[in-house]
Amino acid sequence: MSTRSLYPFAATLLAAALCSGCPDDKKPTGSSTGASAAPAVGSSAPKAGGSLFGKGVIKGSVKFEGEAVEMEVPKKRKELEHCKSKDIVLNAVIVNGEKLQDVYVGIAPGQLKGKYKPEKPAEIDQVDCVYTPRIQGILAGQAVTIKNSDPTMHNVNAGLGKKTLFNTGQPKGAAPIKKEEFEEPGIYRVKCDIHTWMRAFVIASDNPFHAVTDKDGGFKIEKVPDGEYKLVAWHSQYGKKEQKVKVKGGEVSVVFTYDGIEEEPPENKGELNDVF
Amino acid sequence: MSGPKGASDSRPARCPAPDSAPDSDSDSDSASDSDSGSAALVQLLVALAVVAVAVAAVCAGCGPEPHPWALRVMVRDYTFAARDHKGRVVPEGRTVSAEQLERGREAYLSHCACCHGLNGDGRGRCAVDLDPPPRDLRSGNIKFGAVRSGALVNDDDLLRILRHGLSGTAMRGWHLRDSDLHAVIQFIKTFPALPCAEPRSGSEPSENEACRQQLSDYPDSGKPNAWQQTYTWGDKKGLPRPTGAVVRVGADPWKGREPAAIIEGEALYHLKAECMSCHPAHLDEEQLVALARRRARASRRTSDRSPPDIRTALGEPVALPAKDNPYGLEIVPPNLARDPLRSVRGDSELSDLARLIASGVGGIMPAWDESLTAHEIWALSYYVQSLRDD
Repeated sequence: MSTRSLYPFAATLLAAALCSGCPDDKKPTGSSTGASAAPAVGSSAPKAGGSLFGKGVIKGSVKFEGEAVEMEVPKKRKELEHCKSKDIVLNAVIVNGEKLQDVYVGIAPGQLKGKYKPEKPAEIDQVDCVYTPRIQGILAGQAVTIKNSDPTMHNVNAGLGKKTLFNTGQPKGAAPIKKEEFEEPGIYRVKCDIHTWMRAFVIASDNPFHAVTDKDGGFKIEKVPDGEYKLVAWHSQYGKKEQKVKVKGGEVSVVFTYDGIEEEPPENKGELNDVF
Repeated sequence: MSGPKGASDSRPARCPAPDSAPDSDSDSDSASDSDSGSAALVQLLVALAVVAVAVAAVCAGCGPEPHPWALRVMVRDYTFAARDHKGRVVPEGRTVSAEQLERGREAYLSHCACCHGLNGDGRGRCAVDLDPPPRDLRSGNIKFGAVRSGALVNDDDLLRILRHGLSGTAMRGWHLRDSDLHAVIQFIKTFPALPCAEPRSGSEPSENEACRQQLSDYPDSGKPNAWQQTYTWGDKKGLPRPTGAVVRVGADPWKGREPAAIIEGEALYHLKAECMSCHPAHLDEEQLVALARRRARASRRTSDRSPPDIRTALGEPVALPAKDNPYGLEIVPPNLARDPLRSVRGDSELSDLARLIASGVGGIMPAWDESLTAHEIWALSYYVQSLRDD
């Protein structure tokens, strides 16, 4: 080795030796933040009591006071043989009489101490080049069975934030695929890179207390143990809203209101630009 | 360092490690062949002066700017996600000693940093004109592992890539001692994760700020990268997340029946697997319709009888926009008849193709091992190989 080639090493060693005293050169804390983009984990929220289920019911609706983006048939859909047969408009925003459909409403993770076990896999189907359901809540760790009922191949590309969870090809007639990668609480997006308007959202939580609003914007969450919780609403175009809710045996009523000028959530950037 | 097509240069690249050193490097060129002791002494002094400047430059960053990562001596052990040699998850991860990491760091500085950068960001000074650009090692996104698309690659994958390089890129095969290769593989897992505030990041502004603060406060721990991440929830909380399960394609079931494999592969490519949704088709519309009719007649399965999805724009490549993939570049699926296939080696073309099809490509090409049989995957490999032979 020539002297010259030693320079970098000498420089490095020296730099390192001298720099080791730098005040910012702290030793690792050992803590790890992980990759999870868990929706609003509230450490300050009061912890609920011991039993897994209670008798409380959180019931309510999601209002939409504003002008909804008009949904159209996605541009690319009209070009692709097996999808163009049906003029299906994008299902990103569905408003019926000032009520917003497909809003996830649930008790934010990190508030209930109990360990909940999923019973059976959740399901996503691919029908007419659209995911059904577009949005659903699951328990973190619950398996999701993905079916393809279309006469064409789809790829199922799932991710959390920037991280790809899996990406699998599923030809027509292929058996359902069972995926167990939705392990941590978070808002996962599922998409097909060939039929680019196809999007689904799987929201994993550490508790089973969640629902998705129906066509009348209504939701109902049952068997909730008593306690005071942070309740989260999430819509794929209008993002997250939170409010406190106090459950004590009976029924409590909650209303979320979106006004249509909310920014797109980070979990679903640019959907409308991509599609129309 | 090798240029974009630098595969012919087999010498290890000699890149001055600290970015502040290149001038001194060229100054000393004329003297470097001299054996004279005094010349060496003078050189050493010059070197020390250069070092002092370098140190000053580097240490000026004791404040807000963290030092380039590869200039920090490794002083602690790291625990990484791992699998054992049989592909089983090692739940407690694998602890790598500071000593081995330090060896890896030195090898990285000599051979890798010029392109992959002192921070592992793929922006070293030799990377300027490279197309494709060198991999940003901080993200843990590596395309050509034998793991299902999207999963974290294993050491064996990294070793294969280091030894054989990636064709069509400036990454060439490195013929170093095994111990150095293994050490480098461990060292590149120590780079802190991507900074938080990349423009195309989907995170909320507040999260970005918190993350940036964390990185500047604790550059040494930072946000854990993919190899250092642990479960944050559930029974496995605190344990390292494992690397991907190894996708195995078994032995070639078509040996001795190669022509049949190619025919089967052609049908799979254009019909069942619809590879031509992304890669170009290699049949024209007429041939495609004829093939579909033939297959439908022969098939007993009703699902095979519907006509193929013949795209109106047949053969038009489907590009993945930069914002929709983890590599930050527009990705165009290769024309398999023509384009270099990065991780397919000449001497193991078929098995490499089978591995690639089964596992997919790092989150951007889907994995096929869950919905095609090994038989079908090998048939596709034969077909793709036949395209390349023509």
